[in-house]
Amino acid sequence: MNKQDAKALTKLSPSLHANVQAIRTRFGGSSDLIVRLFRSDAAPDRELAIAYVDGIVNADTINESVMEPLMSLRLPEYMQRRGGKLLDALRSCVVSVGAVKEISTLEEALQYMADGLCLIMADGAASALTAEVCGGNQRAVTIPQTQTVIRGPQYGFVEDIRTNISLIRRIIRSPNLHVQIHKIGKQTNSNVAVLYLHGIVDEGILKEVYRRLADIDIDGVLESGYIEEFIQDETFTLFPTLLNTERPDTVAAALLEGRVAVMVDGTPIALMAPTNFFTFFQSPEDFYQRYDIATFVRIIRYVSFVLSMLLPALYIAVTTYHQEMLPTTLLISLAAQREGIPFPGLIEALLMEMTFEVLREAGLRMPRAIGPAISIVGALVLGQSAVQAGIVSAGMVIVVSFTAISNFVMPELNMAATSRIIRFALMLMAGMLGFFGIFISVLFLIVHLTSLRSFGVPYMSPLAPGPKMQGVWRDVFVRLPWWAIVLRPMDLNLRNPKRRPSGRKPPAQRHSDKP
Amino acid sequence: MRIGKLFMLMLSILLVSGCWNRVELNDIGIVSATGIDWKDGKWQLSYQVVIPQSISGQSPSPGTAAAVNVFSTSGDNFQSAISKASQETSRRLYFAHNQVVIISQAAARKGLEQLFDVYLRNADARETVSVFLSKGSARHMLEQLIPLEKIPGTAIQRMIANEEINSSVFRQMTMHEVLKDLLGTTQAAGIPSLSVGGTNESMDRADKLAKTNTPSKVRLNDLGLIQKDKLVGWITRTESRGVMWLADYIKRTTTAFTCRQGDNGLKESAVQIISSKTKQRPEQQPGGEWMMHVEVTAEGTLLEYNCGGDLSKPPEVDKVERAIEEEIKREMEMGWQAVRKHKADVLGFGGSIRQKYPKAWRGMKDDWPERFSRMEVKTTVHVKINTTGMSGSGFKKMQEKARS
Amino acid sequence: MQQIGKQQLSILIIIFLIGSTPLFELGIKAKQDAWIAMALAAAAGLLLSAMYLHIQKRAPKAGLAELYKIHFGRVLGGAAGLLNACWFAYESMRNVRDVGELTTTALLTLTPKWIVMLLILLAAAYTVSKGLEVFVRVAQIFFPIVAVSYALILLLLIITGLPDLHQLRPVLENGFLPVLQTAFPDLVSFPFGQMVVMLVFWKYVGETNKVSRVTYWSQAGVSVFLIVMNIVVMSVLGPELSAISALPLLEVVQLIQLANFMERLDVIVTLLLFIGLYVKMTTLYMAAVFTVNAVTGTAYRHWVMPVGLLIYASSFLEKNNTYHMWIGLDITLKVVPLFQVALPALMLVVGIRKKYKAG
Repeated sequence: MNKQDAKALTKLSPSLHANVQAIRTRFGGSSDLIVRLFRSDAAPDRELAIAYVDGIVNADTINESVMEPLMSLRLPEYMQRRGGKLLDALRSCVVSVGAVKEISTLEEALQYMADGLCLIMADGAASALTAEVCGGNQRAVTIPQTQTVIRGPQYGFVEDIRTNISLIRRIIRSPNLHVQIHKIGKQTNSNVAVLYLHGIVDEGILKEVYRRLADIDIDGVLESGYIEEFIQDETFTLFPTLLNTERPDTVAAALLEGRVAVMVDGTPIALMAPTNFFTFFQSPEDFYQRYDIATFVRIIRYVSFVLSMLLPALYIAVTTYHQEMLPTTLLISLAAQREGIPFPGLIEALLMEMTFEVLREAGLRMPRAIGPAISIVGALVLGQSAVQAGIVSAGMVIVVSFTAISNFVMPELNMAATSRIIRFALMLMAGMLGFFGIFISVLFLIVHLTSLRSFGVPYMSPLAPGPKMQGVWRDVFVRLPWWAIVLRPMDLNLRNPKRRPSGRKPPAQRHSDKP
Repeated sequence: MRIGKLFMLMLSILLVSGCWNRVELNDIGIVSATGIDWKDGKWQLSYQVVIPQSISGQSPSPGTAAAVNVFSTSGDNFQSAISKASQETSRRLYFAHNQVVIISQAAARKGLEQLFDVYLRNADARETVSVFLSKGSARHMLEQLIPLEKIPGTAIQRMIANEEINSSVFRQMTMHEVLKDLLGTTQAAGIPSLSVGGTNESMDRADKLAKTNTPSKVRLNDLGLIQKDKLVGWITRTESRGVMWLADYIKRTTTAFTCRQGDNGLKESAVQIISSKTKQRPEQQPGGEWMMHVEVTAEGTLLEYNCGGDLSKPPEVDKVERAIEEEIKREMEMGWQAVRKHKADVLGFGGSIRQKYPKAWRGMKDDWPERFSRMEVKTTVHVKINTTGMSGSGFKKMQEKARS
Repeated sequence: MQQIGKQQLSILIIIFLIGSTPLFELGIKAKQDAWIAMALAAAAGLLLSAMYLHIQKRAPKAGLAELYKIHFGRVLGGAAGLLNACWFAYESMRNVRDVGELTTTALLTLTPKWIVMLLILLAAAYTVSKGLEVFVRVAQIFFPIVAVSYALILLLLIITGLPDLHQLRPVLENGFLPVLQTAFPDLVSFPFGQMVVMLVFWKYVGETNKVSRVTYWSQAGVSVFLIVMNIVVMSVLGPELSAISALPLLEVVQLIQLANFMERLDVIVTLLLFIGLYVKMTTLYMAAVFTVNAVTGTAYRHWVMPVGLLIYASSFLEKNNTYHMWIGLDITLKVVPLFQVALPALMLVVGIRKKYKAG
């Protein structure tokens, strides 16, 4: 909108026909543009018109709340009351839609129509009214497809941003939940909403988000991934610096922790920033189920993340460079398996990993009905036949399968993808320099990770740099019981770092049997 | 990002130039035991190489073929002998998993300096390997198959570990222990030896293990005494246990004793020592010679009791304890006499003196073996029987009671 | 301006001082009394640190180069700064070379040294280019790994009962002199005297008034730890074996065998070795770059690559391990006191005189 203001704007003309003509021309005579001219009995001298784009408006609303009142309008009385201004009278007394706005330029009119609003014009008035009658077909709110939980809310975002914001509003029922909508995309004019909790969020970070959003200059935004790549801190990194989710409860939790959420119209995936490395290992379920179990599961996640990156590399390093590290019995059984395998360990591992990646991608793109077939073929190809044919060793199959499985433990898919790519680099290094190669690669990774920032927040905080406040880091590896989570988890200069007054939970009432 | 690009460049160079230390599992011959012989003026090294397929894996019927293959090479020094192995085998010999080194008597008498240097210099020669002596050829030892275990090297290794924990007649001498002893104060070490017992038939074929009994088997035998780097003599199994008592290496052992006073005949009772501690206290005699007070404190459980006494009475138990103490003293005396004869201080006496009287030690460390053999040893033993087992008095006593 | 916290300073000091020290049995010249020599050297090290801190206190926001300039004037101070930067680079090079030597003797016997050293130096250069803040964060991440590894090693050693304190006796068998000779100057200059490098970094600490306290406590803690590790290695290997093995701690860890499972822990030692050497090398490398940068006033990032190349090139000057050790133990020790003791002491004196004159 700001950018449009800057351009020369065309004022609406007092002539209704001229306006209608202009709108028609600008839409290029599109067949879904509906313009209806009519006269009301009460004011036969003034011609009225409504215009909207078919399919993105709710026809019922137009009929009931716009057309009907307009047709049966008692204009003279209203006109008198409103000092003779027709549109004013229409707005305050006739059109029974919630949001009605008066506009005066053609560009605005066109923009609102493209957004799905209905335009009401009257002959002789150099302005027009817009009425919110958004509608059209939308997917219903359903179970999230990618981030599932067993315990917790079972609904996810949909493509419509209004629905999505309403889902958040229903969780955080507070005026402190502020929503700012930006239009991004010269052609798509997509609605991009910034959500935050006033009084908790760090103003600096909020400003930074606005600044980065304002800098975006692109023709269209189809998914939040577009926005993510524009506003992330570092492009040349494998690690995601923004969280994404399709779960309203996750967004609400992030807002409560002082983060900023960015939602894009047309996608169920919302972004959250700032974030750090460790947030990618937290599933919403961690906070719903018992804290001890959640802690255990979270540690499992860290372990499997590390394994999914390192295991094939370690296997290669140990079997081709450091055989002395293996217990003798294990070494002998691995050696027995490798008898007659034609490829070196590194090639064998790369082969298997590539096979798995291909199978995985195929499974994703495959029409749903063929899915099970591919997994059977995959299991057979990867598992039995390859080993029986003597192409790969059984140990390698175990390693590759375990790696594959452990990759799916990650609650955030983008972090899982990161580990898959790094795995290949590590395998190469391990194949060339053994443990030394792995160490060097991990060293580079750690230096890289610590140098990353997400909206100014160090990526490895609160581990490195250490927490500014005592006890904040505990949410990294351990999920404390809720009564003990006093502080918000981010190492931010939050305005309001405390979630709750400190102190123990209210003691349970002890019922004694004695009278 | 410049660094990043440089790094990528490096990576590609690495990829092209290849992998220097890489060795695939099917390119190595895993050596499970090594034998060292001195033959015709050359070192002869024998290797027991594991054949993985016949132990596990997809081969049709594991177990019908021997799991190891033994061959030898010889040379002027160890590494040149090892490097000759590539003329006889398709795979690189891999020593990191070597469990056992067996040194023949001839080789040990020649001197082991070179062997120790190999172990100190090379990274893949691990010092946790167990060292043994053998009276015959070391290669012959490697050829023997041992029931219950696939790999003879592992079997021997487990045999000594078992022995050390449960009977303590010998102690597991890892290369590390040997080096520590030989570089230590007295530069002497005791190394157990292996021999083939039973008939002289060699157990070198897998089908011989198909029978329920084996005509011969590998067993632990005498203790060889090494002084500086050479074998100087042997002591027997009983004497070896005396040494273990004296040097505080007893972990758990079973001691047979008799309760008849002064009788050297059949020892009909046995006690299991479950913990023992030996203290050495040196003392200079007026004549300049040294005397070592050795004090053993042990606890045990009565395993077998065939004397007449009624063990429900404390004085009887005391009597048994005295009998055991006598027995341990006797063993220590035997051990001491045997070691003294060879002038090899494997008992740690020199170390005790050095720790207590460093100044005096400096004066006599050069002729220590002589002084050692002139030493006197005074032993005291305290045995405590923790429990006499589930029955109070012995079977014999019960029968007598029933008869009367 | 970059800033680090007091906790980060503490971790930097701890990891820097630990470095690769516990892997070697320092002070073995004093035989079983090595630990006494270590303790003496540690005490002397604390005294040196007190001197450095005293100098730093005069100008809390000045680095080593600035301090030189303040005390010796622009030209002389600048020259001293450059000289010191060269020494830092040289010490860094020794660590690079150590990585090369140890990797090729213990881990990858057939791999050429140049590639091993190049890779570790690249990692160091990458860190240096990212700056001090990132580096201390990396140290923070390594800290728990290092702590847990050493704790595990100690625990396993205690469980397996390998340490035998009798190996430490007799105490002072050859009198006090050999112990003193080992402690001074060898042990003081390495590792304790290397604290002089902190003169470059102290100015970045946010809480200026806490610097001394944190430094003393961290250094004292590390000293105790190093003495304990020294005793442990000695009590497992004995004075003779520790003297002849290249990596005594590796030797010790190879002896751990527990329940047929907890064995072959070499990889932990190797990891500790790399972490220690990396941290040390990077600290010194960074100190060299910082100092050159402060002396010349040119942009920091321009100096990362040249200094790195210098370090890399000079690491090839020694032709083999024997030379490396010989130069390290004989030649270097004669030069080091200049930077660790002489120059700081001179600064101290000059500072006192100036103050006296001003007063």
